[in-house]
Amino acid sequence: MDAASIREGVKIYGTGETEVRALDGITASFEAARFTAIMGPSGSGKSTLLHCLAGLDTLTSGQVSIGDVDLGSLTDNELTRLRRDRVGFIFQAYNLVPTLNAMENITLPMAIAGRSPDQAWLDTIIDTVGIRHRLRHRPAELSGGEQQRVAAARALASKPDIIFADEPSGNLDSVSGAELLGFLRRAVEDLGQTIVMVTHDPAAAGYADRVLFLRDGTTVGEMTEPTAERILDRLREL
Amino acid sequence: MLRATIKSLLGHKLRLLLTTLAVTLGVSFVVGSFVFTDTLGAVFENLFSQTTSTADVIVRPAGDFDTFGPQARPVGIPPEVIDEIQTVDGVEQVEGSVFGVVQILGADGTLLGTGPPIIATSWTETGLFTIDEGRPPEADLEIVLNRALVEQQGFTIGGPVTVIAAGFPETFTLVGTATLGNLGSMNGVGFAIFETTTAQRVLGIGDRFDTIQVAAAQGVAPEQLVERIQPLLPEGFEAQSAQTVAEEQANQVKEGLGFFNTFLLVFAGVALFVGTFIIQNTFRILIAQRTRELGLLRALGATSRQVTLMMLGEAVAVGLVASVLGLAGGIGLAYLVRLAFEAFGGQIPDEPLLILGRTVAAAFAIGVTVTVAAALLPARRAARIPPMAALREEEGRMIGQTRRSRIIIGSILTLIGVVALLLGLNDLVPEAVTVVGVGAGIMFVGIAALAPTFARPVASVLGRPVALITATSGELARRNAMRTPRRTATTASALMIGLALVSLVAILAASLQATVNDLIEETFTADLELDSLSLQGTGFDPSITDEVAALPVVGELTRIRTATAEIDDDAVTVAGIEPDRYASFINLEVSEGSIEALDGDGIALESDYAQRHGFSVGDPIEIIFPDKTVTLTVRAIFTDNRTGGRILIPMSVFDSAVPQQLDVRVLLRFAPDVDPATGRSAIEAVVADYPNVALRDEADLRAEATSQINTLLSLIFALLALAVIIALLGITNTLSLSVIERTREIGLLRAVGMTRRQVRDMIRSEAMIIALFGAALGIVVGVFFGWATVQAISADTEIHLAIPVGYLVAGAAAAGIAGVLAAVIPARRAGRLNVLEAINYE
Ligand SMILES: Nc1ncnc2c1ncn2[C@@H]1O[C@H](COP(=O)(O)OP(=O)(O)OP(=O)(O)O)[C@@H](O)[C@H]1O
Ligand SMILES: [Mg+2]
Repeated sequence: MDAASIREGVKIYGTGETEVRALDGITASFEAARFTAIMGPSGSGKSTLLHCLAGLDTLTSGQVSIGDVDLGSLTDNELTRLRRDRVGFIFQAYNLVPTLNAMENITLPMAIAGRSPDQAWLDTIIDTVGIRHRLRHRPAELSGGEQQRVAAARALASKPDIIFADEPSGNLDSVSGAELLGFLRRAVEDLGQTIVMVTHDPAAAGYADRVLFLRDGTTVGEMTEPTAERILDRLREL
Repeated sequence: MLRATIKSLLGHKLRLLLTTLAVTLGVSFVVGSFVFTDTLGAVFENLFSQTTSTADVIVRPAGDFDTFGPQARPVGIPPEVIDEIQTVDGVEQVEGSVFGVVQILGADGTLLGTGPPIIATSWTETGLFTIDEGRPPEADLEIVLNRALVEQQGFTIGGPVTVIAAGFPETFTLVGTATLGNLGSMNGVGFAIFETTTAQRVLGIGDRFDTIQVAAAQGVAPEQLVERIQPLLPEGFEAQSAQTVAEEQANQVKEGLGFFNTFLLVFAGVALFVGTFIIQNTFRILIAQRTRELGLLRALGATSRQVTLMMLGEAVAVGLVASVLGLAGGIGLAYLVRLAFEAFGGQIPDEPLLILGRTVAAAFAIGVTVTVAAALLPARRAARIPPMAALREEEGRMIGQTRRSRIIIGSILTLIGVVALLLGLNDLVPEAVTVVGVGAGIMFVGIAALAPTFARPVASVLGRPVALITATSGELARRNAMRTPRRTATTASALMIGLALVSLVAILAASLQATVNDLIEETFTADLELDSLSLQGTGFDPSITDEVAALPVVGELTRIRTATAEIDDDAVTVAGIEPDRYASFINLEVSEGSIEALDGDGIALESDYAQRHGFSVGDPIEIIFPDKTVTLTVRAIFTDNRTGGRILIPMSVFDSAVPQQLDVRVLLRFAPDVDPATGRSAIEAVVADYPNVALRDEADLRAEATSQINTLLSLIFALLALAVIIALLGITNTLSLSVIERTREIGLLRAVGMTRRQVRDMIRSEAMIIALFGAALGIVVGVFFGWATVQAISADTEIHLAIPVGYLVAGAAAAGIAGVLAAVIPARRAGRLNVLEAINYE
């Protein structure tokens, strides 16, 4: 079974003159334990797709599922709980709560749920992302790369079914970006995590198992075992 | 620049409204006080000019006597004076009047006139009253009552009315109703009018009068008559034109209203003071949030002066809006007070509310001044924002630094406040009351300045129990409260003021209560007392006491009678006692001489009184009673004046000098082996026939004292509630702004799984922490105020400090809950934020 899927998803913003079809009948699915990248020109609906898949936004029509749960049938509270327990997030920036230190930010979803984290699992993640020496620091005291790695650790900590990342390396220099992407790659390979990532950067997409190409709110192709060069070629065609 | 100011204001209507509200409430209170007292003043002025118009000259006792008060009757005017005045050239008509208070039995058997008095007077043609229905009283046992009282009680003309006359219930016939000017009744005050001889009998004044009204013949000026009449009067009386008397009375009422007005304005002042904290905080937060915008303005060429002016311009606009709203609110408030007044039995003639130019001017002056003054510091701070701030990524975090200057300034201010407060309380400076008020204000400012330096640890500690209740939401709230210590501290400081005052009042009340309780326990050695229910000291018939004394359950018993007399040109209350028995019931703590030595021609004085008037044991004292002047010798000086009177004379002298002998208080003990309950019910059976006699034991006295203190307490609490409400608005305001500021963070929390409810919990918990912080500060300051005040009072009259811990803890808890309520709006806004929009919020 797929970790997440969308069928004939339509998302319309505004009405009449200002109507924008951000998603235009898109159908796609994301296999478990795989790393999928989503690419496409600016305004093609990548973020919208991600938000709808993650239960942060609702479709105008169509169907979204996480595992076997149809998101359309959930109430706001159920959606929130689903995000808390089964979905992880990494945004482009401002991922962390400024009053909490790195460790507290990592365990935040579990704290919200009132669960205690699996310590062994936490240790594994923390070592994988390599921020053990920064755990007591507040976000303001961390570099951008460290902040994004903390965010990634948080996304993984609650063992979600799927992690969504919207340009997680977009604000990072190439070295920090590569570190973060390498870590996401390992999470998929070693820990069996499922990740869906939006990116503009062919090099970033090169870390994925599969690339999904979007245009005008619908899929216009995909590529498995991608490399940066092949992706660049393909993008030029689009 | 102006356009930028207006745009910025209109862009944030809710913010503007919230900020405005703090000043609006204070201004409303000021306006309400003015409008209400001005209106009442006008009503009275009208009333007095209408009611004295028929007499031209009034003869009355000279000196400062409040005509309707309990001390009203020094020595009456002998009837011969009337005859003499009659012979004066230019006199048309002369009439004598008596004034006093009576009690009457209401339709349901309760005694009326124990609270608001029923003023008794004699019917005169030239008097104050006009007959509304029926006719004036012409014979003994006829009575006329004011219309409102008749309507309220459902009496009928021709029907019976029971009057406690001369200490005994007597049945009168109601022959008419009367009105005083256009005034129905004032807050339950009633009028009973009798034929002159009856009035004199009922009020026990013999054949004398309290005042004489003279009507002038055609063409004779009142001033002329005054000059002719004055030489005829015995010493101690004066003639005045009716107009002068009316003016005096109006002035007296105005003075009374002035006090009332000042009293209300003090609370308005407190409210405005709290308001300045809120405004200052709001402006500071707004400027912090707009650092980038202001930096941009500076980068585009605005001078720092322009930025200051822009901020002050906003303040003026907020002040103007607050003044207009406050003016409207105040008029509404005055209207409400009037309704409340009427709901409690008062009747104010239907005159329109009086809104003087002064009131409007005050509204604008106060509204604008307070707002601008509060915005001054934040505006200067805004001016210091460098153009570079426009480029910085991080929003201006100008809050949070705990500079040394802050500690120094805060400490100095607090110290000055404390010193001023102590000096003022202990009367060591002129204008002590003002010094106390200003000292308290300075102290509040000082503590508010210091508060940010310890807001972090305090919020951390107070947040822990809160976090236990609301888990992660609470923990995040705790962090948020600690993250902006300045904001938390100022918001809490506003609440501190109200709570400090509430604590002070609670401590004073508790101390008073404890002192009174001890006093009752110490001095009340009787098993029971019979008490006349009259506040004015009119007693009950001695035959009632005789009847009680004759009961087999009653053992020892002593009576106390009181009358007004004149000593050293002062009207005083003199108590007649049975010296031996009195001493067996009440421990007077005689410091010189002895009470037993009173018999015959002795007098005992309370030490303060004796000292003030320079009397000592062995001195002769002349006491002028209405019918007789006696000279007694000081035989005892006692320190305890807390139970009986300050001036005690033997009953034999009292009875010979006072025409009307009524028992005001009777103390008794049961016969040996009588069970208190049995004894009491036997006495109750007798007293049941006399509604003017109340039976009290120690517990009753205590309960009565408690209820009196509590009544006062609830009034003050109700007024202080205003200050607390404004402080709570401050919490609403601060958190609303914080929610806007933390929009993206809230979005993130929602994205990673925080439910709307948990978000609301988070905001409410922060409110609770701020409120608890304010309450804690307030209670600490309040306890200090309480201690200082009790200390100062104790220098005069010993009272001991009692701290009502339960009450204060309950107050803190209530503040915490109120804080949560104050956060309802910002919490809801935070909970409603759309996750995606919040995350993408700039
Ligand atoms: N809240 C909104 N209201 C109106 N239109 C919106 C909203 N959010 C997105 N859109 C529109 O929907 C379309 C898709 O937007 P989306 O953010 O998904 O694009 P994207 O592929 O993520 O682009 P980018 O690469 O620039 O991030 C765009 O045309 C955008 O203008
Ligand atoms: Mg996007």
